[in-house]
Amino acid sequence: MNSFFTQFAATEAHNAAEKPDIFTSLGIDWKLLVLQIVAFLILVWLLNRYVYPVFLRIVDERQSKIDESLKAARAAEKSAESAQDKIDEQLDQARLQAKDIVTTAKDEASAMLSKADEKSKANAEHMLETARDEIGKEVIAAKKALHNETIELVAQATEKVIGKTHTAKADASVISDALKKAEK
Amino acid sequence: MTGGLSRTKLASYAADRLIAGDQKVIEELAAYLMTARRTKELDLVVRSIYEALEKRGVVIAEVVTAEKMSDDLRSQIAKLLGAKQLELREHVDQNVLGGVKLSTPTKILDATLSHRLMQLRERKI
Repeated sequence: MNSFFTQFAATEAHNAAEKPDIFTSLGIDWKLLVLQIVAFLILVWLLNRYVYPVFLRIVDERQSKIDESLKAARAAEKSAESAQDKIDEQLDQARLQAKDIVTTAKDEASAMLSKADEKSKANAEHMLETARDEIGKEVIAAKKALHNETIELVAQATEKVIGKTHTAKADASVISDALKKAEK
Repeated sequence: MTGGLSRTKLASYAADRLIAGDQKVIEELAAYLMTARRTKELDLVVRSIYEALEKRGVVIAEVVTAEKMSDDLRSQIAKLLGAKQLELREHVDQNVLGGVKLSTPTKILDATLSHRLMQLRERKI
């Protein structure tokens, strides 16, 4: 290795001694420089042409994926917030509905109770009225029966009493009275 | 005789003859009713004759009492009926209990106690 560098330096020194221009003095081989520039340009072109686009595309894709993910995350977050709001709203509505249902049920129960109460009162009054009517009818029937029985008893008693106590004199008096009444 | 005479005319004719003392009219009337095939009207004709006699002052009255009638009662009845000639057909019926039932062809006076008791019983409801 040392020998290589020594040889190279000797060659360079020899070349410098032969062409003493600025490149030579600076140790630059312009031919080599041009070649290197060309190679560099080719490399840049190749990179531009085949490598960078791939990298850029991958980067862009990743960036777009990240953006999409971010967007999706934000959307999911918003959706979650919205869902929570909806859930809260639905819960509120459900509570309100439940409250309404309970209130309605209470009102209906109260109305039913009231109606049942009125119906039972009406039934009771009707039964009472019917009972009164029946009692009234029975009383009337009993009065009639008593009246008829009294008449029959009076008639029978009168028949018996007259049969035993009615005398010819009394009979004559009765007949006389009847004839006098008929004259009038 | 054809069946054209009314009951009223027959009764009037018979009543006049009976008042005159002609009892034969009864037989003639019976014969007429048989000939005219009006025997079904016999009761009605007799009743009409009684009515005709009553109009002429001859009253045939049926009297029902519980006891035998006294002369006083007979005179009271005669006075009540105001008849020129009165024939009383008396019946004693213990079932009437008391009082009197007087029937003429046109009027009925029921003043018996049984009738009053019946009226009382009719007041049953």
